[in-house]
This record gives sequence, structure tokens and C-alpha cells, in this order.
Amino acid sequence: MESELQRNACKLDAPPAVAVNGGVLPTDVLHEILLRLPAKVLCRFRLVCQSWRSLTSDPIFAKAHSSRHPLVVGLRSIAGRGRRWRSDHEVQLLDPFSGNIVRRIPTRKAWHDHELSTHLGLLCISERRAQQEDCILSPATGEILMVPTTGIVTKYKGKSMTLSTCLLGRVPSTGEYKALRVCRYHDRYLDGEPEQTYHVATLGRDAIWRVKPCPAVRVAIVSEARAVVNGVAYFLLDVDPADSDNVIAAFNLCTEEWRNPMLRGPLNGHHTSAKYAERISLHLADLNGCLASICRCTRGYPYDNCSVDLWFLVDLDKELWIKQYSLRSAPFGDPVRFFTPLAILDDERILLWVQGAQELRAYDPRTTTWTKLSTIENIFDIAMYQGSLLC
Amino acid sequence: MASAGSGDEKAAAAAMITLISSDNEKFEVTEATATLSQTIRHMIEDGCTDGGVPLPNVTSKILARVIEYCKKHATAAAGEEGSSSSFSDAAFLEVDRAFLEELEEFDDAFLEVDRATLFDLILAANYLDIKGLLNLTCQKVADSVKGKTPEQIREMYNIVNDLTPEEEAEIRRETQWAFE
Repeated sequence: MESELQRNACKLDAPPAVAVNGGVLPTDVLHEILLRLPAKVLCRFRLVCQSWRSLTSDPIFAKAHSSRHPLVVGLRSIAGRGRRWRSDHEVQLLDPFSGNIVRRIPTRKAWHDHELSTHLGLLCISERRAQQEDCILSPATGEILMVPTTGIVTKYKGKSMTLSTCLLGRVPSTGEYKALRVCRYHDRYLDGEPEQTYHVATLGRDAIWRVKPCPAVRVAIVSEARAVVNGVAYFLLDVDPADSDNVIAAFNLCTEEWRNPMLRGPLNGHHTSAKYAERISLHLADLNGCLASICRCTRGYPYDNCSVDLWFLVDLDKELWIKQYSLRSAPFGDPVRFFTPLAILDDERILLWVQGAQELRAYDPRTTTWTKLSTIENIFDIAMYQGSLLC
Repeated sequence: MASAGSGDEKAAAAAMITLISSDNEKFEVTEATATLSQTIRHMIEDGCTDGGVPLPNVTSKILARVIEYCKKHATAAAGEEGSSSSFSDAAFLEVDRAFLEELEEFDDAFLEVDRATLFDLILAANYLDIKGLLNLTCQKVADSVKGKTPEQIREMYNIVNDLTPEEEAEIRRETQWAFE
């Protein structure tokens, strides 16, 4: 029988290299083992030795790790701290399967009616109803970057801002991050048509807001109606769904121009006849780095006969959409229309947030079964964290 | 003996495959058992298993354990397939649950080995590309190191700390949150 040493010297056919247990484990096996550990443990294990440090800092490892350990992110208030009439909020990264907090980052301020958007490793928090600084932070480093609002000049004298949103995106060709801010102005009595302004800022030391032209039709700015994918910000239009003609406005963050003509949505030509018998509502989302159009279709009353289809944009130039998933059953007594899809998990289940029940659930399209994963209370908005805590 | 690659005939008789360990011990196993290993499955598909499959990286002691695992899991897989057509849904679920429980018990008992054997099993599972076994054994190691300090890890696995004090300070600074 061969000795331990000789046998280990055989080196199998895989690339061996890591010094663990005197050379016993090949790199790919150590990789397999470390992938199963949570990010916090891995950060501490960087103190073991050089090779453990470099393996756990490798971007490819980090990517594999975050797809195995997805994280959701949200803002929660810190009870018992701060002044009595308000409490500061902290950003929390949570494990969707257990609901456990993986990391907390204080924002040192109180947010009111806020909105979250995530893009790659960054997170943007913006107030919806007040003109104040947006907060952009990197949960991996804890670094907080504020985008100034002072550069935005209101051109509508006599009107006041009623709603705003800030979206974050990365320009693929340059790697720059840009923020797109849309503000809506109304006159004092909310009469007449609102007007919107569009500003872009490149993130960096001297971020200045630049005025951008308006799209042909005013866009909707609630969080379910927009998404940023691959350097393009997509918006549904701010019109009655029946009149929208299923088009989507698209703003290219690289050229800083609106796509002309607008992008055709997935339902063009599919549902024209059924349109009046059913109630159809569309939402947009970034699901695993792909633009998804979430189509909720409700028949009859009290809306318990409801289905949700997930369409993915597979080719922007050809305006090609593919229906990938269809969620049919209405579990736990909640109509499926109140569910917000967050991501497609590694095991092909769909992760969904149920705002009313404050629960994260998973839907398995193969078995059409639902699983309750965790309850996350006192959270206003929730998003997928797309970065990795390892880099 | 049904030679590999003979397509339809394969399903008819329980084709046997001979595995040869590094210390030249021969193990006769059914094809269903052997093909839990992707490596062996590919060899069968390529028709190069006549005269036995030499496994120079796996000792007889470890190969015997690996075969024990594959036999159990191959039976469970066959049992599931067979039962799906002959039971009503409820009965099927019941059988399914019983199978899963039994498998879990088997896996737990299977993992009751010393650290050196566990590592050898991981290496064999990796080499033979047996997904379930690799997952099982890697998870076992991951669970055993989870609560340990870096010092304890080095001690457990004879790792030499080759980080300078400056590098250690840098790691602590970069990922301060993990040390809080």
C-alpha cells in the first residue's frame, strides 16, 4: 500500500496548490469547503495564512460565494437610540433563509419615506418626498458616499416637489457609476399635469448634477416601475396601463440619452383581446442581472384568480422577451399579486418578498410549491444585495 | 458480460463493472452503483471499462467506503423511480419521506470517521466526481471549522502562519466588521 505522502503526491488531475494540512487538499476542494462558510467566518479565516487569504479574496470565489449565499438588504430603525422623536436607521444585510442579520451599517440619520435601489456592490437610499441628500454606500467596505442635491435647481417656480427617486447604475464600457435622479413637481393644489426633471451625476469626488432632456412621455417613478440593468435605466410610463401600449422608456447611462423609439414591452400583440376581460398590471425588476417584466393578471373578483408571469428581456436590440416563469397558486391565503420577486436562487427557486406579511418566500416552479423562508419585521423596503461582502 | 456502450442491452442485464484500487484490490459493482461517479460514467460511455477501471488515487479502504455510499444512494434512487408509478400520491410521499429519512441516517453514520479518512473520502469524491458524496463530506468539514478561531484552524490542519504582523493588521482593518 502506498504511503500517505506518495499518494498525495499523485496530485489527481485537478490543479493542486494550496498549503493546507501539509499539501493534502487541492485548491478546488478547499474552494468547495470554504464556499459553504458564511462571509463573516471567511473574513476572519483570512488570518489563517496567505493562501486562505488570497483564495477568499479572489473575485471569482466571491461571485460563487454570493450566488450560494444570497443576501437581502433593507433599512431598519435602531430602537432606543437617538432622540426621542426620531430614531436613526441602519442598513442591514440579511440571510433570506434564516432572517439572521449578517452585517449592520449605521447611516447615522433617520429616513422617512425612503426607497432603496441596489446595483452591483452599491446601495442607494433616497427620500421619496423631500429634497435631501441621497445616500450611496458600499456595504462591503462600509464607505458612505453622499451625492449633493444642491446642484439641482428647481426650474418650476411656484411648484413643489412631490416625489423623487434616485437610481444607480454602472456604465459597462467605463466602469463608472452614475446616479439618475427624477423629481416630480406639482402646483400647490395638485391641479394640472405634474412636471418632471431628470438629472445625472457621475459618482466621484466632485459629483455634479447635470440636467438631462425629458423623455417623450413622463415616466413612472415608483420603485416597482423601474430597474437598471447593464447600464440602462428602464421605466414604465406614467399613464393608465390600458393606454400605455406596453412600451418602456429606456435611458442609456453611457450616452445619457433616451432610447428612441421606446422599448416594446413583452405583452405587445399577446394580450390585446384579453385586455378588457382581465386586469393586467406590469412591473419591472432586475432579476439576476436581467431586465424582468412582471406581469400580474387578475380575473374576476375578489382577485383570487391571479397569475404572475415573469418575462425576461433577452435581446434589447431585437426587443425580444421570453416568458420564463409563471406563478399560479395563491398560497397562505395571500393573492399572488402582492408578491415581489427578488431573485432566481441557485436551485432555480424564485425568492419573493411579501410586503403585507413581511415574509420572504420561495417558489419552486418545478413542483409549484411555496416555502416560507423567514419573517423580517419593521423593514420598509427590501432589495437584493448584488455585491459580495468578501470584496 | 455486457460491454460498455452496447446501448439497449445495457438496461437488460445488471451490467457489472470492476473497479481496481491503488493497492490492486478488485471490486465488482453494478453499473447503476458505479455511474454515481461522473468520471466512471464517462469512461463507460467512451467504452473503456473492459478489463476493469484502475483508480490509482484511491486505496481499497477508501474505495470500499465510497462503494458503500454509492450502493446505498443508487438503491434509493432506483426505489424512488420504481415507486412513483405504483403508489398513489399519498403513499408515494410516505415512501419518499421514509427513504429520505433512512438516507439521512445512513449519511450521518457514514460521516462518523476520523479526520484523515474524511479528507481521503473528499479526495476520492472529487476525483471520481460524485456530487452527493463531495457535498456531504465538504459540508461536514465546513461545519467542523465554522466556530473555530484562525489559530485553532492552523493547529487542526498543521498550517504555518506565513502572514506578517502588518498583513494581519491590514486584514483586521479591511474587514473590521467581521471581528466585531
